[in-house]
Amino acid sequence: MHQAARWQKILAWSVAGLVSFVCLYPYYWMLVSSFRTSKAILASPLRPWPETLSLDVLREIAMVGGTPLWRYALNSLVITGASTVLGVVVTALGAYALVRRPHFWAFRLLRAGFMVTIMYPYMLLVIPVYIVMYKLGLLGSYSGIVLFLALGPIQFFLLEQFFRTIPKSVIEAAVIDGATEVQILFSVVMPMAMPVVATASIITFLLNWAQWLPVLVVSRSPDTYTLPVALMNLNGELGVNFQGIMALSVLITIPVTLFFLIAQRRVMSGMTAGAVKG
Amino acid sequence: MAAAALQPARAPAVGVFWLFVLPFAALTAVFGVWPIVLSIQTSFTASASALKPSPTWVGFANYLAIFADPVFVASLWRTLLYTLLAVTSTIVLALLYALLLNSALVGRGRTFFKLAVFLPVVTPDIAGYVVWRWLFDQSFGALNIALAALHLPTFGGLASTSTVLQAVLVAELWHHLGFYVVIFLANLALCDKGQTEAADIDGATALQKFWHVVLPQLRPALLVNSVYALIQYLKTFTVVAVMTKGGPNDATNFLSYYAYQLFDQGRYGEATAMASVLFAIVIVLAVGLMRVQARGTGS
Amino acid sequence: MASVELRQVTKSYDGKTTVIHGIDLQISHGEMAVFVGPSGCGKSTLLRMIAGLEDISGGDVLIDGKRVNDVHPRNRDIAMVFQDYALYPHKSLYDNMAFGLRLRKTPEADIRSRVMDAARLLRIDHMLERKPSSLSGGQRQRVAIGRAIVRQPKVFLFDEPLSNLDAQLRAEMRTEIKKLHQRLGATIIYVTHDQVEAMTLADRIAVLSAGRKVQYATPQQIYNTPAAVFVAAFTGSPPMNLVPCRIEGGQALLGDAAVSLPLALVQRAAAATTHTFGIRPEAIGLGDQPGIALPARVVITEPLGAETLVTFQVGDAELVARCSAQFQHPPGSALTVRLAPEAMHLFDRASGQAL
Repeated sequence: MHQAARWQKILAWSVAGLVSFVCLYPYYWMLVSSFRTSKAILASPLRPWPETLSLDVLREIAMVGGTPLWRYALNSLVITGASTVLGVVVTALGAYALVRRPHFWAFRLLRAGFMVTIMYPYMLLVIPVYIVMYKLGLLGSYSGIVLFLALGPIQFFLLEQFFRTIPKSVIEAAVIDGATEVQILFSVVMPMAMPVVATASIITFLLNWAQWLPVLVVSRSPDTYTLPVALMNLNGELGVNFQGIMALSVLITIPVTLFFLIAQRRVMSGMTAGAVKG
Repeated sequence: MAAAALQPARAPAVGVFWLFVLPFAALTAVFGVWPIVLSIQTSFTASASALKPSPTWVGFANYLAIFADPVFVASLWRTLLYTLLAVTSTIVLALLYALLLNSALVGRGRTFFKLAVFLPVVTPDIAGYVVWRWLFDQSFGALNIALAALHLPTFGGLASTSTVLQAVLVAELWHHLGFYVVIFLANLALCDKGQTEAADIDGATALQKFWHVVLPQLRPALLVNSVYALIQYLKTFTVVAVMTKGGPNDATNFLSYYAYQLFDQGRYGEATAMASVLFAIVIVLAVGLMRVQARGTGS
Repeated sequence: MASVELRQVTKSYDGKTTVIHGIDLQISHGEMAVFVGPSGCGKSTLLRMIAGLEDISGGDVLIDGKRVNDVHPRNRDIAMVFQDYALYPHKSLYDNMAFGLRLRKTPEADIRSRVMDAARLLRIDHMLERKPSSLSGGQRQRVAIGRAIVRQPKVFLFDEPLSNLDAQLRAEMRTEIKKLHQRLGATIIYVTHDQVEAMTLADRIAVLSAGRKVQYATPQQIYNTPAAVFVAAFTGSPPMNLVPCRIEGGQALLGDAAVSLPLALVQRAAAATTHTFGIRPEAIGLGDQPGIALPARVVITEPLGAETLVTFQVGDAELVARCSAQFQHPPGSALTVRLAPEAMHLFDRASGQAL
């Protein structure tokens, strides 16, 4: 392996550095701008450091569209948390069953149905889902939103792929040892699945935290809005409170960024697991 | 030798697996399949009656209406063109960047660069696009200020119909590129090092190695991810909702967004007709992919 | 301990493809029966049908005289050792072995004594808190065997347990398993594709080919009186010399070399129209030993240290012989070889059956 010329290394690092800069600059700008008034930003947009570091802006956005900010934050936490737990449990059980009995016609049909669902333009699914929620009487309820957010393709593929790697012989050994299917699931399979379940949970949480359209469509009042929906409203309001928008963006972005940085390897490999051709 | 009585091989009992799969099946059916069926159904009804217990059937009237609508047709073309552009740039750029990060030139910086490019992928798209909207702003967007300082021509950004698609593309690339970069990095790691070393011994240049050794091995991954990207970009919605609201002058009025607008206006029949058209395109692509894959693996 | 009986056991998929064609087998109390054959012959499928992991399409499987076709594996009182060990990765070795007993609500004290006994027997008693991932292949296999032992089943089933181990480890484990069988006196059904394992371990060997039983006999019988060319070629290292021949006037003609056959063989030769002649390498000696003399020419010699394998050209055939380590004659030399008549075999060339 011949040594690369120095200039090649410098060029490579410059290119990667430039790309990284473009990727990361928006966060920086977001953070700095959240501390600066709209006037100050208008005056000198590229100023690298805010004039003051006060958190006054939070008072300004304490109310968005007539609903307190903490309400939106709480909704985000509850809805994202609940849909993550529900989604991962339901998907894990479902994927496990589909992997254990792959040739059963009803399961084949179910899997096909799921595939078809994820191919439908997600944003447009809210149109008929609105009608479904209406018929089920779930409009405006937390349950409705949570149920809709529960299923997702990435979690399914991740879990399905994992269950497929469990050697058939381990299951057979448990059968001969005398375990019932339920015992096999809880004593043998689930302990093995813990890391993947954790990964799927983290990814589901990250993705669901960002959801806004389903929440907007199913909600009847801002009482059930989440943070991203609040941002959409704030963004569209007249008499734009620029600093407020940035501050809210920061609030939305920080938790998931931290989450991601802590579990980055898991998240990156988990999210791309279905697409990597081995 | 007495003839053995042959019984048909019994399929393994499904038993308790019904229980395991029930919640998943219920959710998929109620919030997945049923809405889709409903959507297709609604596309054959008159918008005003869609929500009523017995809607009026109008056959293909909605479909004829939308194809007669110049805005829809323009939107359809626009969506397809934009998607093609977006997919090509995403896949090509992602591949190039992955190759760069994979090479020895970058070495220890790899983890940082990977994180930097993937972070936008997990960032709530709304927050990201809100920032980009202001970065592109004509008066006090950071981009134009920087360009002016470097004595470069300013960028029309979201205000001009000639540049808005590029601006939207940049924002979407920011959000999606990292995903594909990481995928390709993983695929590159799976490449057969033995072949590369053999090529080295044969005296191949870096370009020849890429073309003859690496690229053939990446072909299936490139194909799968191109279709995945196609399906993803066809659904472009949030970026338009946040940054341009379809404008200026419908320049970014993509199918998803237009359909949603109609839904907002209560024109359910036409909205679902459009959604069905988009859905049909995706299905065709997905089925096409499966066919090509099956042929490739010789199954 | 129990007997296992197979009566016309058949297996087919979708009612169309038949992979096991009516096999009859009787394995006695405490016997170690080895199923051997090439890949795809159905030996593993047969084992799994006895275990209950595969459905039985036709015929009956009896364990201890009781028909178990519709009995769930956990109620057949069997234990199985898998090729890939199939240990529970997140459980300690102790828990791996105790799992089955705990499921049956065996009292902890009993579990403890059984597990410790088995662990001591297999020399893994000092590492019972460890997890499988920290163990070597050989150690994992011991745990898998231990898991089977503690269940004290009527029948032990081994599915190619040594195939994933390297050659030296395989030899060691072979001896261990043989000692285990003597110690426990258990009924064992053992599947392998390795003829050395089959010969050294078995009380009786069942040679299978394409879903059919070719021969079921003791290792000596398999070796000395193979029922078919298939069996003859399978055992022995190097395997039996098998060459096509013509029968004329009480002699087997290998081209221009004439081998005088014993009377018994000559009489049976009439049952077939085309013939294959067989003789094991150790039955071919040099001029100073008794036997039918034939002119031969040395083709190649392969010194193994303790002996030398010499390939001779006899008539139109090449025969491999086991000669002493002192064999010095170079390729091309002309010698006289002697074939022991009692070790001669004749097979029907068309069907492969022994005559």
